[in-house]
Amino acid sequence: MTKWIVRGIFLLGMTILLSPLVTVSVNAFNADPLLSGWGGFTTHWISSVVVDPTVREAALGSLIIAAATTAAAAVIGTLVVGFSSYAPASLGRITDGLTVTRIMLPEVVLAAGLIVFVTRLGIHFGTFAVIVGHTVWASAYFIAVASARRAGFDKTLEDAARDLGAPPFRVFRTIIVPDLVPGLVAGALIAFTFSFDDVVTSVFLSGPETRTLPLEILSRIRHGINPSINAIGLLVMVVMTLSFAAMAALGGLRSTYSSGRKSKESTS
Amino acid sequence: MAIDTRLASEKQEHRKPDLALRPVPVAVAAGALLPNLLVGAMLFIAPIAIIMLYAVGTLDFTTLEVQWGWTLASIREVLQEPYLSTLLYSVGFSLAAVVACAIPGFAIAQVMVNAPGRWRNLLIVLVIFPFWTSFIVRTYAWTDILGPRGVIADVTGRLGHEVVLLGTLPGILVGMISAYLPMMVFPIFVALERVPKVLTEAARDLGAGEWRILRTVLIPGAAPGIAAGALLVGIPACGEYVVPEVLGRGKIQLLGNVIGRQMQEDGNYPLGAALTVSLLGAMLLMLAAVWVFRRLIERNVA
Repeated sequence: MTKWIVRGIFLLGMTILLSPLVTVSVNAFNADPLLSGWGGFTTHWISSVVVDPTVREAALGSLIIAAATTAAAAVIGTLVVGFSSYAPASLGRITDGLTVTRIMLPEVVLAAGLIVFVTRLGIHFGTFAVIVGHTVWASAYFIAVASARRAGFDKTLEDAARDLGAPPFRVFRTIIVPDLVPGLVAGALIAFTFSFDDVVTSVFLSGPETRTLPLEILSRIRHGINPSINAIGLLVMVVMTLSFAAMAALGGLRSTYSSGRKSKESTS
Repeated sequence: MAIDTRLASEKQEHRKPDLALRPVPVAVAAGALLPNLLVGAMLFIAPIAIIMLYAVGTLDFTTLEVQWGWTLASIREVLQEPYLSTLLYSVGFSLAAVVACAIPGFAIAQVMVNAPGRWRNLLIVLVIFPFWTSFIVRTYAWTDILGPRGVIADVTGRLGHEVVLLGTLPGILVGMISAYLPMMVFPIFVALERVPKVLTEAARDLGAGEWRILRTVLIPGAAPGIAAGALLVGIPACGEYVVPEVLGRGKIQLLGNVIGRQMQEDGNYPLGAALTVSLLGAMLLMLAAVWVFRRLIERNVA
């Protein structure tokens, strides 16, 4: 009996988790403009969204912001991940603390703080302000993902190379870089996707001119049900899923999500 | 003689291996951490500090300039209606989201742990997959499902009483479960994996029923995971902006939305700042509650 209750709740949970994805994917091709039932298959919404100039402008805005954010986060984060093991322990602890708090703090708090801060500094709301805001948390995600990968690294390799007489640069080129790079790529992909998908920081700091795809979706939602949202949504989902799939293929996700499994494998 | 000195220097190296083998000077490494520390100090700590100062400052309504000062006027305003009920609603809502995620989260993790290898991997992918798509799009999808033309309204309408969850608190809660459930599943999954299979087998051999095993073995085993998941769900839920914005249809505003409105449209920064500080306060209370919960678990285990 209890077993069946657990299974029932399991099914309900999985349904709640997955039904939005199904709904969006199906309704992006639903010919019924009111979405009150299945009105036949159409690619009209997708094609009209692809040529829609506001959507194009928003997509361009999203790409610019995500690319600039990723570049900034990658520079900041690579320096941290590459060098933190050689820095004084106290600095390392402060860095770790700042990374965790930037990820855990509700985004609204940071966005509210930045809106005041940016006004005080006399920076205009717009693309630049959004990039600055995104960089604050994107760099933390970059560091977390890239160093999770590095944590699995066997430090004896580095020591062995040095003991065998490899000069520092050779150790860096043949041991450290090959170990670091997949993590850095995974970190860059997560910074890109989170920036690309962001709503809160963008809403607070964008001002009237800057548009991104999530902001465009939000403004269409406020104007009521509109089949084009499903089409834009499907496109956003495809971009994000591709970049996450690339990350999984690089192995960056395995070390973050299935550390439990990994330890089991190594004992058996 | 030459050999002796080499041995001596090697010995010295062994005594301080870290210094001798350090390929990067400390100053260079510290310098490399600097950009991140600057971002943290100037773009993270400073804005939050300014928010706190603004919360005790005042707004000059003629010039719309914020005056520095020390007044509890804004904080007091937050503790009065209509903001007090927004604050209480948001805290209660965040707790409801934690409970609403913990129950299916436990069930999914439990099924995952017991599933044979291939099915388990499939389940892990299915639970992660929503994360690989867009947050706002996933949330938007619920406006179709919960709306007046959606599946829920259709089915309940045929049963006699049409239920439209769009624009209601339960509707927002469904959106929250959908958005944050994976954050609850994985910590519980990791915790349950650590519960030895022999414990449940022993309990079964000794005649315990399924419910008893659940209550005395599995739920206590999952407790550390539930505590971790409570933080991962509860903290973002406190200040959630997107889900109530999309599914509230303007009828329901939680703390995050009210802060957004004050900061953007009304431009009353001190009030917005005081609301933000109250959100931070609520969050700290939550952290304290989880800490107490953890201590209780540890005491029970010991």
